[in-house]
Amino acid sequence: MSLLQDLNLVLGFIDIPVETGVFSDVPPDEYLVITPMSDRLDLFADNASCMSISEARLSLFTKKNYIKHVKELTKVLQAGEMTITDRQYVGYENDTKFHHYAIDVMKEYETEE
Amino acid sequence: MAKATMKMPDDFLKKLSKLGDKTDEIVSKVLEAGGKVALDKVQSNLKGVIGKETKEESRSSGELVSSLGISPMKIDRNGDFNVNVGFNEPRSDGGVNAKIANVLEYGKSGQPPKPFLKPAKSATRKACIETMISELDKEIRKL
Repeated sequence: MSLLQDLNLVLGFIDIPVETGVFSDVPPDEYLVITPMSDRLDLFADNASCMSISEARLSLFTKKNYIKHVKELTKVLQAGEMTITDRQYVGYENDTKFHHYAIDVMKEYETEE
Repeated sequence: MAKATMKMPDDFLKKLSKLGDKTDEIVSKVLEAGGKVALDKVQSNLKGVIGKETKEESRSSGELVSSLGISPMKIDRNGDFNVNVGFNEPRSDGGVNAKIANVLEYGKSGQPPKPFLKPAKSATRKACIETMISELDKEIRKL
């Protein structure tokens, strides 16, 4: 499994359209964008890495109250055994009327043989 | 009753005393060395994202990259010594570098984020610690 696969799986429980990288359609009133951030190797033994650490940022855009969705997202991400490394209200966009909230997640995977 | 007295070597005590006197100077050098590692990574990440996949032709002037730097050492409210990697303000056009950096880092509706700070933080954590340990060791040996 990869972080993107896991994220798409757990975010399926939330009723918000999700895309990776950029939202290609005309944006609805609420949507999520996943941006992969880093993918590094860790925990070395016998000249080989035993673990990979993947990080991604979830950007929630909503014209409604964002608090309910942030709570839901936090719950499903933690249930999916992901570590939330940061949660931040980025701001209200005057031009688009969207509230923007960012959640950074990280998950460790055993390196596949 | 038998009595034993343990004494530290004079040289060692003198070095400890010197270390105490020079704490601020040494900590500043150590933090600067660690900050330099983070700064290099942030700079290279930033160069990699500026002007990349823009809808229109990039109008980058290079001012954001050149304004990146390390702050002098300061003590925070918890009493910890810190240096910060950040941007010099303001821009030559009166704008704010941090605002532009924030839009790049987090994106906005219709503009995908191009994170450069967070990945640099994660990627350089170990290297920063190792650099600071070796710099501290070097400074202590000089005493």
